[in-house]
Amino acid sequence: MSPILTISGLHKSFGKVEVLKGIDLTMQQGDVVSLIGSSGSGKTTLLRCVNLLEDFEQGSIELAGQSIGYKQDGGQRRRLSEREIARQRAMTGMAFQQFNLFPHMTALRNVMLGLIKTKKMPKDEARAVAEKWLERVGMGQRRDHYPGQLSGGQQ
Amino acid sequence: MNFSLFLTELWNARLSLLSGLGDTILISVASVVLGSILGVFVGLAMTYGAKWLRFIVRLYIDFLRGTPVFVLILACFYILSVVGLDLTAFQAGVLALTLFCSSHVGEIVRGALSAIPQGQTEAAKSIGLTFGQTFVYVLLPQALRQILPTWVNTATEIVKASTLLSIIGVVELLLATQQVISRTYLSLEFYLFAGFVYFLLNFVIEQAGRAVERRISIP
Amino acid sequence: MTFLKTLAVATVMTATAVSAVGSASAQEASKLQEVLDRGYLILGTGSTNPPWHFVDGDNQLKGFDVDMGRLVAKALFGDPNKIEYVQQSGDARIPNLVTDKVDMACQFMTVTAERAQQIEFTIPYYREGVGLLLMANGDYADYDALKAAGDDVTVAVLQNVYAEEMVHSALPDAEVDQYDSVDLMYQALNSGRAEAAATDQSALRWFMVQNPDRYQDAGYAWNPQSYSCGVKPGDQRWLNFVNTVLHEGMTGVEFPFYAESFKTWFGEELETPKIGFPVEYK
Repeated sequence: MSPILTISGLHKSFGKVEVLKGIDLTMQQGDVVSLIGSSGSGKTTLLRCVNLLEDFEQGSIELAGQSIGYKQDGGQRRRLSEREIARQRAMTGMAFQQFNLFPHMTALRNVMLGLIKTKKMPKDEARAVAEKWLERVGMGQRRDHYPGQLSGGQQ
Repeated sequence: MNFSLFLTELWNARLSLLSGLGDTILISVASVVLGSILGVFVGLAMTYGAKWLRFIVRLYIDFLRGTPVFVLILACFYILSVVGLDLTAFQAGVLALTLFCSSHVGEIVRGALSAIPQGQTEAAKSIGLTFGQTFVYVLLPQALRQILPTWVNTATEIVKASTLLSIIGVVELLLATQQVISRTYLSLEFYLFAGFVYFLLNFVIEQAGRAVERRISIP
Repeated sequence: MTFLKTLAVATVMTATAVSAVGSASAQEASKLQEVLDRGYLILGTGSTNPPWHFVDGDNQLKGFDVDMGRLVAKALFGDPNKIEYVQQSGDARIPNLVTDKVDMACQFMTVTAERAQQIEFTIPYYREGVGLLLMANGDYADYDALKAAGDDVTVAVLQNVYAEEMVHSALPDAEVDQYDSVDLMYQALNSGRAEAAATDQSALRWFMVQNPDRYQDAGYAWNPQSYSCGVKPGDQRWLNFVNTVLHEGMTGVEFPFYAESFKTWFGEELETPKIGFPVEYK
């Protein structure tokens, strides 16, 4: 079985500081992988590269058979279009340390936004999916609350 | 103060004063609407533009904010006509107030956008929104709430600045009032009256702003 | 208004530079032909100073300045109403001329050498001066009585840096009270706080026209200044035309038009110009 995620030779620098010095990683479907390291060692940076919140200079990331963020074009390494990148980002899920919920939307609308705009789901269907998942995590009662009205755990 | 004489003259002059008030409102609305649209683009360019663009836009903002509105109005009316762009006094005045408004709105928008935590953009990106979608669904709704009080303030400034158009001969409320005074010699009465009308206009704008603010505030 | 002056001068210089390039065609392209082709005159004037230019109860622009424009429109098109008015502030008179926003400006413009360097003046159509307004039934009959009364007399005047000096050049010993607005100045006279009000002869006449038999003119006027219309410099053909029209208004075939207007705004019947040798060459 071919791996779902393949990272090879990933390099990432912030200015003169090289944070990722050639990371190689392979993951199979169903794997649960923990990254462990001291503070500032680049765990978050690696995740942000996979989600393309950071550009990287060298190496490649392949997710479900797609090259993430860049393509080889006649020997040149070219960044994908903004639209293409947005589509790829939707393939991954990212839980932030600071939640980053949208404060001007209810819990339900927070969940629906991505479904409607990037998965192009019809509104009714998105609502049903979002309600189902909020119900499953025990937030059914609070779906019409704004993030500011939710406790830390609920957020 | 001769009150009954004033009321008689006020009634006599009602049409010209109303037409002046109409012009004041038209000028203000046009300038605020056009200036705000332009200002959003200015704010966007300031926040997300390339370095050279930010530099140009910064010059634009600083130049317009550093120039008295009065001078802007004269410049739009006279200097543009020298280079062959012949605007009427009304158009030149609206153009000047629009530019002035856009520089203020641009600065407000820039401030509001940069006050939104970076995490919001990243969260929007990570669920796959494009930049345009991120702006429309995530950033703008939050920025607007932050902008509103200052923006209302800018609108009232524009209403007050519209009086300066009288200098290039636009018969807005102030000039219409002065025309009535010159005929009736009731200067104190009519200036007080005009002042009251301007107060009323701005009072309405501010109350409307507060009402909207309450409606859209995030719990 | 230094900024406007600078702007006007800068504009004139730019305009001069541009017209120097195209001076060959300047002769044919007179404002006169332009106005005739257009079919109406664009007159720059104010709207807040009766009896010169003001908006009446029917929202119509009226006044002596306006009538001078109507006289020119009549000469151009046989119809004094073929005018588009540009209502301008006093500060805008010269800039609007040099930037071609108006064909001519008639707006109680005092002829001065400084202004004559920026625009061209027509011949004067009125001579302004300061006069003294008295109550018709007051204690003092005329200027001599006021002067004889010395410091018993208080003169109301519109606030102005030169106001005191101006009054004292006619009444050296009089007390001077300055007021912020015309209505307050007239009120001072009505209430007896002042015995006389010093103001422009034209304003004084207009006030007497509006309030017949209540006031009288003390019969002395000083501080002469000429009022002329202005045109953009460099167009002799147009200037000559306007001059001819004004001249014939004051001395020739259009005298009835001028005299009628003069009577309306200043309440004074003019004598018909003497027939025979032209009076202006005497």
